[in-house]
Amino acid sequence: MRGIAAAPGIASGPAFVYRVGHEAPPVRVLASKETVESECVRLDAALAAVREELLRFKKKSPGSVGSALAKIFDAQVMIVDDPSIRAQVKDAIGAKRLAAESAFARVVGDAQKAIERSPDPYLREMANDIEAVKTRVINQLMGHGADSEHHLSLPSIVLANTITPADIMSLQKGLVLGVVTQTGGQISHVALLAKSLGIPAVAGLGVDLRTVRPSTRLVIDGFSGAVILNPGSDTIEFFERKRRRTHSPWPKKLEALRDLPAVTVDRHKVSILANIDLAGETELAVAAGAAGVGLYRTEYLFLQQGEYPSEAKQVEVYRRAITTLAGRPLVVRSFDLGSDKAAPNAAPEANPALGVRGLRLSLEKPAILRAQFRALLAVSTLGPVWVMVPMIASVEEFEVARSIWNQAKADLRRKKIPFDSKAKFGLMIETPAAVRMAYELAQRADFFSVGTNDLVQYTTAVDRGNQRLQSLQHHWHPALWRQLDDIVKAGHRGEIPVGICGEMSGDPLAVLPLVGLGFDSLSFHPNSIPRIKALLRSVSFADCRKLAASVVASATSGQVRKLVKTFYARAARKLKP
Amino acid sequence: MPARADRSLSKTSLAAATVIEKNVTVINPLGVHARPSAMIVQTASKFRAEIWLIKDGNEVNAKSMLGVMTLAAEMGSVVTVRADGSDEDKAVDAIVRVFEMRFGER
Repeated sequence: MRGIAAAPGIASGPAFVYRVGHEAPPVRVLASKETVESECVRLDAALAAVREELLRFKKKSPGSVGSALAKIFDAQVMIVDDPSIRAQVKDAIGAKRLAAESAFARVVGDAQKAIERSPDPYLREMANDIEAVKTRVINQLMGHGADSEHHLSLPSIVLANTITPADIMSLQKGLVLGVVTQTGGQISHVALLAKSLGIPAVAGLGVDLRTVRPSTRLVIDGFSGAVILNPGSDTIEFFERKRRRTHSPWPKKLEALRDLPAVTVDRHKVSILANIDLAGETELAVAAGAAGVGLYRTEYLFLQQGEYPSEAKQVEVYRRAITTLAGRPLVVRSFDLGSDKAAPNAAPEANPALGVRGLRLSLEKPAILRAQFRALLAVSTLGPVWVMVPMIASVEEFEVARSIWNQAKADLRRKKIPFDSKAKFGLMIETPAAVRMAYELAQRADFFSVGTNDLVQYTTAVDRGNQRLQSLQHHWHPALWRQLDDIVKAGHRGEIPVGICGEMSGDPLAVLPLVGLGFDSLSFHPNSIPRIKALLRSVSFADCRKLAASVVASATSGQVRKLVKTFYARAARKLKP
Repeated sequence: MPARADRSLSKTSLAAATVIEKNVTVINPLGVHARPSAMIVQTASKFRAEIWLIKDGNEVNAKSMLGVMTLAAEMGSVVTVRADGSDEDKAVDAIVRVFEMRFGER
């Protein structure tokens, strides 16, 4: 099964199915010997217990996740403390002799429904905070001891249809090997928490995970989003090898590669860059031997703060990143937020993948984009900063983005803040429309970076989250390879560099034909860099070109796979493990 | 929601017969999400007056976290702040200021 890679790493172990709290409590009235007073006392005690629980979680939050989690817990505590809720619940207990859990569920449930009707996806997410508090209070009242249902006794992979950071933290630390969720996108609070805990996470699997039998063995790959139930021994071994490769410190041989260039045997150079989510990961990128950062996903800044970060905060963060890179390029993607990324569990737009996301959201709030551009330009004097905008589907969209970039430059000139006027401004090619307009876009942009994750979805009309389309969720479609070929040709004709930063650029099988197509740079997770560099240094560009040509000429994915696997097997044989 | 009940309570109380109202527009890009809601509630709770927020005909108690969250006021929406009590002027001003300062966000 394939979901969205949300936090890197490989884990294997038994499944632990996390059920969200409770079924809605049946409406219960007080028995004759239960008094309204004692029920109100019970309510107060439950609220006090939940309050303590939330404050404990807040204290336990890993520091690296930033203040966003703390703010979430603070908001939840305020819901617990809400005098109006308390009053209404007590009224309901008194007037209708309702049990506290029934009264609480009703009072709070109405508010939840009202919030879920809001047209704003970020505001809809508040319903999750209410749900989190509701669940905990009701569990307390119904005697489902805080963590009794959620007690891990052995290291397990947690499966949930939806889960919150508080839920993860309520589980035994050290026993959570990884997290898999039915809902959710690539960038969410859960993903952020998983990354800071160093465990893999896969989101948006699309399958009702409650149907998985407890203790089923599974393997999850947080790099690719793969989830395999009941893996056979071959699969287990494959992933164990991958885990060792990607988790452990570089074997001595690969460490020597760090400072060696990524050149083929016939001296064709490729830039191997790293994908990062947090400024702090630049250190990891440099340690892995990356020639720079090919994709800096800035949405995490937003998540860490819990709000759009101020311009001053952004300058601080970007300055840190560019300084650590010590002259290596930093390619930054402007905030790519949308209904699926900002509010993973909220009711989405009818079709969020085709909705207001990425640049379209930024263009609804241009001041935010302009501020981000100013912050990036402000640090451009410290090193090569390349800025790209996501989700472009027309020349006009790119022109609007570029005019905002120019406005940002004018703002800095007015304030007499120096910047590099040659800082590169480009775009991500991730829609079929952008592929068709690549020639015109190349005339206007300073560079391209191909986002294959989304491009393949839009091109083959396959929803990544749809479990019934598992067999179509791969990157071996000849249609995709022909598009890649067109993009590189258009970019080079416009004399601009063309890079690729989707998941597939870190797939060793895909790397060689990608190089053969002429991509100037590949960007992927730092942990995979040494391995891919070693691979590149053992092949010839001439052979990669031939491979690329036959891939593009193929008619079926099956043919593409066969070509690629055969070539890779030959190349890999030359590599020492 | 609590607002209606609270209003009738105050009408029968000895509070002054005046009521102060001011309109304010939500200017921060993310709207009144959890953190701004918390700020509003914390500010409102300091005053003795009964305070309500009204948007599109919906009225909520400004001292109730759940109430303020239910408003779900997105950027651009207009909210009426109404207060009734001995410190009603200060209350309305303080809350309006919280909105105008974009709840401390950029």
